Amino acid sequence: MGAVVGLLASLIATILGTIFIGSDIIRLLGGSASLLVAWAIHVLIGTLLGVGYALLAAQEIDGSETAIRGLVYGAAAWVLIVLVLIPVLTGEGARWQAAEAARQTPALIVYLIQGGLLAIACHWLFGLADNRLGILTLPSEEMPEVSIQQHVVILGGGFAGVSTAQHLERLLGDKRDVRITLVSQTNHLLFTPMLAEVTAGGVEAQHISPPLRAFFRRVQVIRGEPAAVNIAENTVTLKSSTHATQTLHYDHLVLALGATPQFFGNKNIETYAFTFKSLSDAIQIRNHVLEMLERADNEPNATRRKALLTFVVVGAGFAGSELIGGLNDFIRGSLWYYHHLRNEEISLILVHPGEHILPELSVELASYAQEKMEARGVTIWGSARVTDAAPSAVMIGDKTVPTETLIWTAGNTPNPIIGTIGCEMDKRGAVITDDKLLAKAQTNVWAVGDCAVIPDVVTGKNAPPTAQYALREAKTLAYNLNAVLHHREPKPFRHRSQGTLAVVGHQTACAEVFGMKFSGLFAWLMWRGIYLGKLPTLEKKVRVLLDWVIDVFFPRDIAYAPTVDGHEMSGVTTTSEEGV
Amino acid sequence: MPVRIGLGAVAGLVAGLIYGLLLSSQHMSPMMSPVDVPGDQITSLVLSLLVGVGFGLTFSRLATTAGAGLIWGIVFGVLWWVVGPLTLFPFVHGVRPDWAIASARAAFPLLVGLAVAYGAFMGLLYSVLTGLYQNRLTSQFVRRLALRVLAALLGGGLAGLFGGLAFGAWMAQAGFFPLVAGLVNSNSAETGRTLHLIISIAIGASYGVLFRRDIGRIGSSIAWGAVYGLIWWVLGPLTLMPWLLGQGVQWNIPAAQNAFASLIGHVIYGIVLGMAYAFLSQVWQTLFVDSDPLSREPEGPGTRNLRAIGVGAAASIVGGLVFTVVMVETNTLPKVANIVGMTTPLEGFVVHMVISILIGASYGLLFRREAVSPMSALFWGITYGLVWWFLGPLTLFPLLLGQPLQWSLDAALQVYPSLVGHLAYGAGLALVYPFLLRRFAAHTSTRHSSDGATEDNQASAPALWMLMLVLGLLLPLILMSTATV
Repeated sequence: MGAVVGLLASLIATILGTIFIGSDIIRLLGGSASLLVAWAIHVLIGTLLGVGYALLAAQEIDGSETAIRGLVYGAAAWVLIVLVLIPVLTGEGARWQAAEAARQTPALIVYLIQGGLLAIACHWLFGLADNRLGILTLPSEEMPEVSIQQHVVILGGGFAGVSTAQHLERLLGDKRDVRITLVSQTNHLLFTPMLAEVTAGGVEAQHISPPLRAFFRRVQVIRGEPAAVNIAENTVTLKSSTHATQTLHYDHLVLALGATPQFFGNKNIETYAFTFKSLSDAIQIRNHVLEMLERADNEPNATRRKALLTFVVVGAGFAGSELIGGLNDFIRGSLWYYHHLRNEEISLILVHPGEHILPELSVELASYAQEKMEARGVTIWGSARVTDAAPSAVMIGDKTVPTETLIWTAGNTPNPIIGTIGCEMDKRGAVITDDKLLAKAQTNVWAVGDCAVIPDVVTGKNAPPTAQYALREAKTLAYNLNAVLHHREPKPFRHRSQGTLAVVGHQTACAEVFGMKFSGLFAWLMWRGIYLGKLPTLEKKVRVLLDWVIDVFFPRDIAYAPTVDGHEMSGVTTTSEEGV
Repeated sequence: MPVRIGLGAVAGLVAGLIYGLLLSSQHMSPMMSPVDVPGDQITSLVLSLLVGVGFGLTFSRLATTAGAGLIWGIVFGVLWWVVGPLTLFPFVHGVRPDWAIASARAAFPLLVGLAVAYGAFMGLLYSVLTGLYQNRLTSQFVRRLALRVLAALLGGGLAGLFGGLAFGAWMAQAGFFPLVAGLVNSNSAETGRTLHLIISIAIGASYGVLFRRDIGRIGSSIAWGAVYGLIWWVLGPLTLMPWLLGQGVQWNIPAAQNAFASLIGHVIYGIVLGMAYAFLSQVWQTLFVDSDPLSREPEGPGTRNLRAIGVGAAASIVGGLVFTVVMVETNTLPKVANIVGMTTPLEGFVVHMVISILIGASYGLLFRREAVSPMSALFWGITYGLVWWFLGPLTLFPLLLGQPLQWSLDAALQVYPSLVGHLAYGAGLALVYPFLLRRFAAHTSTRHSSDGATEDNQASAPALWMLMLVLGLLLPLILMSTATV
């Protein structure tokens, strides 16, 4: 439309110019001695100017001062074309000296006429196309709903689910015939690598939990929990916090449901132990620890005080080791508030069944971490298991340890809903997928993250359940979903680990990055730098950075944190283990 | 529509009458008439009436405020100058129009007269008549209006003082104050300085009163100020000052050439006035009027402004590279390097790009809310480039090189290629700016307004763009001496 209008406007303007001041104006406009060539060049330029104007003015069809816009456009085009482009292209050199420019004023008038006509005609035609014919494209946000042909439902709002939705949304761009729905138990993404810092009072809980809706433009977020999945009928039934149910039909289903704590059938441990998977877990542990300190400070009986000041963490993976390191700093750093408590009375015990803590790290770094923790007052019981628990005691092997604090990080199992779906599973209860992340024997059910067993073509082993792998799996899965939706071939998952990092206490960490080993303050700074970079959204990065800066100047806050009961439906979270 | 036409006719007729009387008192020809015969008042009045009807038919819808009426009246005057004296009137005389610069120069008095004395007055009168027609003058309305006008007077007066101080620096350098003091029969520089500041404050106050409803943000206010400076260049050194000194109005090329330095001074005054007024107005609005949290945008102002600065800086790299072509062709890069005491073209290029990025960042910040569409972004970019032609090569560049201000016609004509470069810079910057900003807008504002951008106060923007181009592109060419052409 712009090209046609531009062509006509340049024709009319040159005709008017010829009528008023003769045919020389055409030679001036076209930059050629030949009248025909000059005229053809000018009309071609006019056509291009029309296209340019139409592109620029497409959003301004209601402008009432249209003609003046056109005049300004014409004047700008005169500068660009008559003073610069034509003379440069014809070898004359630019006409930007004032004396040269002054000789081109007849062309300026032609360009003004042309611009004015172009603007008025575009305004009229765009209005006609929009109002009468309805053929003008509206800005994307005003686009009416188009019929949805494909629906991708992603279950799980952890790293794997959110990242899959993000990548898929980006790959689909403005293609609106595919709908994406993300089902999450919370309305935020929990950045689990910093969860131990929440318990230790280093960062505020909200600062490591960016809202899910901040990530997406068009993904529909539903806060709910899958109650049933029917893969024969391609439906998912959701229940909300009010226990209302909702059924979604899907064309492709992504299982990113994460894992839940596993107590190996011990009901007492399940009853009396704290879990460490969600924000509410972290806050509850922190409040409980503070409660222990408050009670101990007012407890005259030494035995009972000792029990109150004993804290047992089970499991020495990343979660357990980082948690006990952080708790150790927090508790001992807060003692100066409690005048009746002494450092020697505090006992933090890390129980694990292996020979070394942090089995994901090399033996060298794990030993370093263990030495550092022990030097700071953590007691590590290796090759030991918690066999039972009571309200005021924990059985470690055959030994009874009086305590009111037991924190369980020793085992995870895939979300129990997985077992009801009907997909093929391993002995842990995780969905077995092929290397393209498609659930075995399924055509439209995909699995990713902690709830899946995914072969890694690089190592030939199964991908470990870490955040690092979950993010890479999500990227591959989004690619594959997009490929399948567009009838292309999906690609296999391949990823080479970039390394692992773990904080073991105040300003001390261990790291293995690209095969290189680091420990101490440098590794701790590296940990903070890398995870601050990976924390989603700039806003949260700045808030966490401010928390850390405040921590440098002020003591730990020992006020109880507000509880968040009821805001996370079952405490199930996804992908808690760490990696770069 | 009939009311608009009627009011336009009345405004056109009254403006034509006053214009005619003014010209008669100065023994000048009617100028509205194609028949260049003194005394042909009837033709002039009929034409005035028809031009007023034309205004009522076309631009009156946009003349919703006194400021908008004024600016659209001037635009209408300029357009009539092109259509009438440059095109149709020669036909009446049996001559073919040539649209050449010589003809424009010959019609310069008509340009001044039709744009400022006739068009501006007609537009202003039209908006006043419309206001009287549409509003009932209740005591509450008058009291509220008076309070707002008082606030605008105070804000404008303060902003005018800042502008006057900036303009005064050159006036002191050029020894202009004694001349100003002549208005009160004195030749004391101090009297001239005081009088200059009083005039500056008065013009600033009038700026506030006239444009208080039109001025949105600092970016567009710069253009409003520059155009208002141009208007006062015509009203001051070419009209009122010589008239009060008993020399009659000086709407002629030699007088305008002599007053060209003062034109740049007026434009700089207007730029400072516009910026200061919009800043004061925004502070007032934010503190006392418009702090309603319901109108908050999805992101905090810090993020929005930092993003706009960053995107403006990034977009300016394109504009800066385009401008570099002009600089290489005109061998200006070594001069630019001189600013930091260096000499080579490469060093000049680095300095030029740093300046480009800083100006681009300021464009992002100042025009974040003005550049609401690709087209408005482009034209604001071109306008901002033009503003920097006045501020850069004509003002700051010589100052940074330790030279006196070069506010002369010769200097302006010498750096005319730089004007083309500045316009290309502004266009390049502004074409890329919305493109870069769009990816953020898509993320933050699909369900909300786009990054807080608003189209308020944008209706008069095309008039400003056009007058800025007339001021920068055309006026120097018209005023250059015939020997140069």
